[in-house]
Amino acid sequence: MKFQAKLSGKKHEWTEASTEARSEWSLEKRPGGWIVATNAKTNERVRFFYARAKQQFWAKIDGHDFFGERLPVHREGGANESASDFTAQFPGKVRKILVADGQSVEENAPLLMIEAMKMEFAIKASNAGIVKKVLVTEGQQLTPGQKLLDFEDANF
Amino acid sequence: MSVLPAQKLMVANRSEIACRIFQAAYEMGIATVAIYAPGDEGARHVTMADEVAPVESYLDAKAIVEVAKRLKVTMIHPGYGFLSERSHFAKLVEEAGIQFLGPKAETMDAMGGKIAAKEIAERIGVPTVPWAKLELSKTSDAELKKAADRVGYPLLIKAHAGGGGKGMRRVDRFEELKPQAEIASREALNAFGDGTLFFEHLVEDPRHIEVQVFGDGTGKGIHLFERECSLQRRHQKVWEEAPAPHLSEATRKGLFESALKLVAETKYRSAGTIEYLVNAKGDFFFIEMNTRLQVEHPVTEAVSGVDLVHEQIKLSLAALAKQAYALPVLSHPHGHAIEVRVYAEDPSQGFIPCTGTVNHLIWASGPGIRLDRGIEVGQTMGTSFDSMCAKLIVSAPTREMAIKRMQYALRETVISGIGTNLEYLATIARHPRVVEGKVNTHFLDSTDFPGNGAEFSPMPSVSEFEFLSLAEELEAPPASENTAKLWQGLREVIG
Repeated sequence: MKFQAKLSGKKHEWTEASTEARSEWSLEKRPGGWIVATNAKTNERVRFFYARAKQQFWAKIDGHDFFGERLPVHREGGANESASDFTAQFPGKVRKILVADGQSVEENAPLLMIEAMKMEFAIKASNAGIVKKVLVTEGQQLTPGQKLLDFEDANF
Repeated sequence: MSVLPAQKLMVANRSEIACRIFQAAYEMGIATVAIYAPGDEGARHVTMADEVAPVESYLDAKAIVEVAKRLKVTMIHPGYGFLSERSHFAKLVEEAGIQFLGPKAETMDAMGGKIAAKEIAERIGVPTVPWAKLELSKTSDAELKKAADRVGYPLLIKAHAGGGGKGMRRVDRFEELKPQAEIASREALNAFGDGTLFFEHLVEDPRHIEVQVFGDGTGKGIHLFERECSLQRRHQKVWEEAPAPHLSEATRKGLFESALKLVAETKYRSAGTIEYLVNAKGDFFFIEMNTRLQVEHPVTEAVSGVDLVHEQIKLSLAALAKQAYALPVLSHPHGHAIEVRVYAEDPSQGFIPCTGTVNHLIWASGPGIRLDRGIEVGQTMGTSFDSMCAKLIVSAPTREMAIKRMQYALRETVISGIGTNLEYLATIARHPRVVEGKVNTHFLDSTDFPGNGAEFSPMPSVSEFEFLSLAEELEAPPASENTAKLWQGLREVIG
């Protein structure tokens, strides 16, 4: 099974560890949730942290923090609904709609502006695709879980 | 001190500041009361207190005072935010015969309004940023132009009731003033229910430096040195330190003297902060007074050795016992301290607040490391409240070592289950401009800093990804050793 990492709103290939890495590094689980990797050839030690809950993961490697999603790669062929559902995460208000029904958009294109918690946020396309239908109107109050738009993902 | 009846302290607040105040109460032998609003049932501060009571909202002043009366509370600490600077709350508390651990209601009224505070400052000779009232309906164009010329371009339009950058607009030419004012007024009206505006001279590339003060309420007071809070993302402080680096002794002396003038003039009681802008030449301008204990107070505690919450409580105990309160005596700051604010947010998605359940916490500890936190493992972060979940504070004999220590503390801290800004903070701690101490309030939002305050997207390297894959396999090993070998062969064949 192949995986993708969704980090910082973008998808990256996440392959299995290379044979070299597997043979060179041995991993040890340490108390506290840490993992220490030791390189058999060089004796180099790297301490890191890795935790997962469903698709989400959190990692800290050599003092650098990352968090994102680990997503299975879908089978080739046929248009599919995007795995990323465009739903409101928290109560807010639709400030501006930046796309029209049927519009093709590039990956990371801003689709909607949402105002929540006294700040403005852009809802962006997680992949290139087509906005099938915008389900909200400007000025509308949003409740968590409310679907914002139907999106057809070009990558699937 | 004469024998007082047993005291009971309620914190009319939540999260880390409630926890921090409960520690002080415990140390002083005072019983504690926590309140919690819907969404905070599982919060850390609720577990810590001796007694707890639900409220509909942390902003419901009447209900909170009713609960306090019912539980025979003798002191209320308002923390920061929420009701901390609402004079009607302070009034209600004192009318109920309860000590308010903060300034007098009339001081909040006098200093709480940005315009009124400027007028007081001007009267007693504290330098302020040149400013003027902005009342479109009452002022003719000619008068407006004259005022703008006197203040000097560029101008900054501000909301009287403002905060967090709402209602703020830069104006470079007179023609822009009216249209920008209309937008700002609407924004302020929406955000704060008050569209009153003023404008002031925009101090370019300023540093934000503030002085911690503590007054006994009679006009006597002390300053507890300054804090540098220039590292702000979109007007939100993320990194604060004490003392301020690269500040001339003349400027420092001027800041302290004017801060003490304001304390004396207002007969300030309890802890407060006087905020200034300082330009590259070292000229300083009073901007406002925060009539509360601030988020960044721990850096001052670290360099002064004074526990500000203890002092607030001692001041109240002295008042109850009708005894004199002795202000701490300080000579100079000891060493250097830095605080960072840990937020549950996703910097890569425009710093959007993150929700979720905390499933793992590893906190840095060791010499010179302090952690003020509001979260526990298993606690759910919702969206009802501010997303700050902890503050990491380090102190060391020198600034150079304090920065190293902050880098270490961030390296040792792990939070999983929710997204956080830890990597953003670590990037700040490593940045050469920060290490040099050469920053201003625009730095984090400028192109000199990764993501310029809009979006910050850390990416693992190929080798780091490989470690993640190995870690995955540690949990769920691949089908079998043989399969791996089989694939290895295949890879070689394919080339």
